[in-house]
Amino acid sequence: MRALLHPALAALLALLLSPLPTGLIRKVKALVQKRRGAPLLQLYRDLRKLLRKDPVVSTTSSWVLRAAPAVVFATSLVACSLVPVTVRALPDGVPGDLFLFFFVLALGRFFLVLSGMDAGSSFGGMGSSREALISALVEPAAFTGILAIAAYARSTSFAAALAALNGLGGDPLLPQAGAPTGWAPSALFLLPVFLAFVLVLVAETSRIPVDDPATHLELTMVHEAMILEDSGRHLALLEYGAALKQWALLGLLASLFLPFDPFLGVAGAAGLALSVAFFAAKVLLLSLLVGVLEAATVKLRFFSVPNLAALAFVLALVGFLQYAVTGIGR
Amino acid sequence: MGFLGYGPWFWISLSLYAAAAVLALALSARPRAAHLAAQVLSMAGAAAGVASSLLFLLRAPSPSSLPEPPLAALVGTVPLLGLTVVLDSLSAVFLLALSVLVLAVSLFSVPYLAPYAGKRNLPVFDALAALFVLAMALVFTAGHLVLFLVAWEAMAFLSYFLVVFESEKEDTVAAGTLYLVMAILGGALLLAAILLVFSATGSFSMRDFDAAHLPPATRTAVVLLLVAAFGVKAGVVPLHVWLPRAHPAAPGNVSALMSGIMLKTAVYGLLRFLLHMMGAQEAWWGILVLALGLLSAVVGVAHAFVENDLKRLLAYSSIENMGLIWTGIGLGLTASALGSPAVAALAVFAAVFHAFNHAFFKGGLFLGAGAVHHATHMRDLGSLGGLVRTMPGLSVLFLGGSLAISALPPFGGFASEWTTLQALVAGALAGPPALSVLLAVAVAVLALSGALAAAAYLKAFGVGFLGKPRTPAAAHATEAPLAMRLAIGLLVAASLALGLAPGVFARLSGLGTDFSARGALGLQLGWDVYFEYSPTHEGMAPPPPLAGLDPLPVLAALAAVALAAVLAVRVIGGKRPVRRYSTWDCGYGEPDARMQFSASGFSKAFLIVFRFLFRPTRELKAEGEHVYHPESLAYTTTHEPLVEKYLYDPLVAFVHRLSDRARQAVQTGSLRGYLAYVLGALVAGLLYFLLAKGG
Repeated sequence: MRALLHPALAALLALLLSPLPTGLIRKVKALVQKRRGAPLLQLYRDLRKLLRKDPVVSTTSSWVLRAAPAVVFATSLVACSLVPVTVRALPDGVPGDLFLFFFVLALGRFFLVLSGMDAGSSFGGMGSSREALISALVEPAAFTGILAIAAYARSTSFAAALAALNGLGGDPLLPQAGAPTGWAPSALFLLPVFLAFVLVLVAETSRIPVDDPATHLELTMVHEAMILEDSGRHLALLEYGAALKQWALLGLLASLFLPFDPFLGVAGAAGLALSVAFFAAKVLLLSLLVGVLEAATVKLRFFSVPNLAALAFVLALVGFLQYAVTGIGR
Repeated sequence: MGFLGYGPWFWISLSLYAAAAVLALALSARPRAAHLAAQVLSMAGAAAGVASSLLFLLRAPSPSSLPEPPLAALVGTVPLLGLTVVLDSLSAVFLLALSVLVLAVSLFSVPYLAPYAGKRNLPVFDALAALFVLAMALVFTAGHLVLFLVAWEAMAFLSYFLVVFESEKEDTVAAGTLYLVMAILGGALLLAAILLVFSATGSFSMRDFDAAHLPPATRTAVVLLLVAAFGVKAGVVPLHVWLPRAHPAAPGNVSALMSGIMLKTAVYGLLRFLLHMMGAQEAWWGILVLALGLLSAVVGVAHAFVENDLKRLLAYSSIENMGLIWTGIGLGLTASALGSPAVAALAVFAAVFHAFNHAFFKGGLFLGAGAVHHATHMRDLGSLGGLVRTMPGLSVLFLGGSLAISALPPFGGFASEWTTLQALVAGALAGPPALSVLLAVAVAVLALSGALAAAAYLKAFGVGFLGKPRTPAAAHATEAPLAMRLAIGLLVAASLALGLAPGVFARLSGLGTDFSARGALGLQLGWDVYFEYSPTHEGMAPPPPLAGLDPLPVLAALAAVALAAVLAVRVIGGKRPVRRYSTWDCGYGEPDARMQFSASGFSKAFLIVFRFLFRPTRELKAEGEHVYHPESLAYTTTHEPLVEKYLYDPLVAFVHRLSDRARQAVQTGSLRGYLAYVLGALVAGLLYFLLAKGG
């Protein structure tokens, strides 16, 4: 039963806080553009509003359109629950591995893309076609990045990665109180991998420079085009699912690449609460970074996205090559 | 357990297939009865085959027992010829896949082929199909090289007749001819390899085979011949040209058999010959297989994605999947040669697992395409659409198959792709640096091909089954008959079961990878035998403990969350009725079927990004006086099959030129010349006879 505690905690945290990064990113963008911007909690309000609206469904559509939001939401939330929020989870066992994480997200995307094509609209088909291509292009970067992490952690499991990247060595058992945490010196090798995963995050969460979440210009949109036919509670689940997916990917970066936790010394429930809060703070910090990135860059031409994906792949490969050449951790 | 052992069940199975063929011919005066009888007997034979392979696989009391000798379980010997038929773990796994697939395909064939009764010689077709299955069962169980070769060639020739079933279509005949030529080529290569082996060892028995007796040069030649021979059968790039033509040309049930299990004979052959019999002695064997696998994965999936013909899409995707399987086998061979049995076992297990999975989901998908064709008489995605409403049951099954082949949880395709990735990671972490880099590229290739496969099946399902019907035939399609849905459902359910409980297959197959435990790599099982031939190098370290996979909790969580979300949303939002309205199209009113995103459009961006592979051309023809308001617009786009253009076309042209010249030189038309040939041949024959006798 204890093994379920941390996934449940991670899922609960994501449920509560996942709309926040979106608000934060929008706020950063607005401030950079000298606008006041929408309130931080706008997405919460949007979700509440959407839930109370009658959903409109296209006469052309089938059960796929109505089922997809639930699938997207479920896969995103399960992905969130796989990301360990604190190294305190290690003794109870952290389930899953990094490949599983991406395959679960891919399941959600499969249904999202299908729902874009269900209503027989040209916009939906266009968004779906683009999403299918973009996700295929960034997948090699993500998987090579996992390989690089595995080279360091000696396994693709979350438990081993968490332990190794928190400076606990390959032993996925919680250290005694006061054991050293934070970056191991050799973790600097993972900098290119981190950058690769940032690019993967940008592509997977439909952000500038790959996609523009703020646009509703038909010719440029990808994610928004796919969900054009959704409304009411369907749209609410999709928006929530997108926010959860963003939380999961930000959490992945925070959990693996920012392995700091000043509250590890604090014992008991209070210590756990502090550690979890610190994790949330790290995720929000990363979302600030994404906001700055989004404000500082322009959307790429669609046919330039392959170059960005290639860059991400090369970064991840460089991360692994350092291992293959220098034999770190061998 | 069981009142008969696996041996008798095996012979019962073969006899029932033979009886199906005989009965079909005997009843040929009443084609409907003959058809039904043949299919029912085939199903019975398949059920006996399932019983035989399961009894064999379950015979060991516990998986931790000592490994069996590789060719221990002699099922029987054909009298007079001394041709042995043998079951071992490897044979039994493939026999199981064959039997389950045949069970489904025969059930499917009952309604699928019924419209042909009376119009075509259905009894002969049924008889040939039953014999084809019989030949494949013998390929998987032959313990004698001659029997293997005979079964192999019989399989090729029988399938040729099945491919050209609709022989009035020119395309079909052309595809069949190409298939036959390639099959003969592959058979010839295999024959050459087997004769080389015989000349060195003096034995045709697979049991007595000892690769140590082969001189190195012969061994190299044998390996190259075998890789080429099995490469032709597997449709590995660049030997794949026949596959995307022959598979779509064949009727749906035959395509399912060919893609589902006939291609796997090449997987079986590679493992049996290179790994088991020859003992994976040199690392380059595996590297060669791995490189061919990676090339096939990328080229296959790229062509699958841009293909608009549903069955051709499936056929190209088979090339991709064979590429993934070859990647696993290649890693297994290399790791075995480098003395890392742990990595080798994991990689070989992954390959066999994926082959096993692929038999079911690809079989199901081809049957699905057959059912669509049965209902609409169309295979072009650009003419379909909206089937999710007209054929709801089939749509759900096709979606299940698509999820499985896109390697998405919770289906078996995900479990085997995950295992393959783990094997590659294990190899990359344990191997020497050069191998590590190659395997890192392999991981990236697997990621790319996996995501592109998903894109291809998104296209197949999204364009073919969703949206509005693009033609009246699609609009008026009726649901597939129950037998068809049952058959496809059986295969999709098998795929789902393999995904939910991959550990069961691991234990059953005796390939023992423990999926649930954190780092466990149980390798103590039957496969260790295959590595005892390999010399141990210091090249590879033992692999680190890898991740575990237990898909059930993940699936349970997914289902629970989805259900909870739907309920919670209704509770929070209150009772909100769903309103139905036409699709948004910028306020112009309801868009029609032609305004949907087309099949070509869906993969267009990919075609442009990968234009170096396709060299696409496009042409836009506008008719009418006004540039901006033409009366009609015609848009055509083409892409080049690079391998055909730059490898096969020059080769064919060269052969034509050569034979033209040879003909001109030899066939002069002069009677004296011909008489001289006869005399020369006679003298040469006599000389050879004298010399051979003297020697």
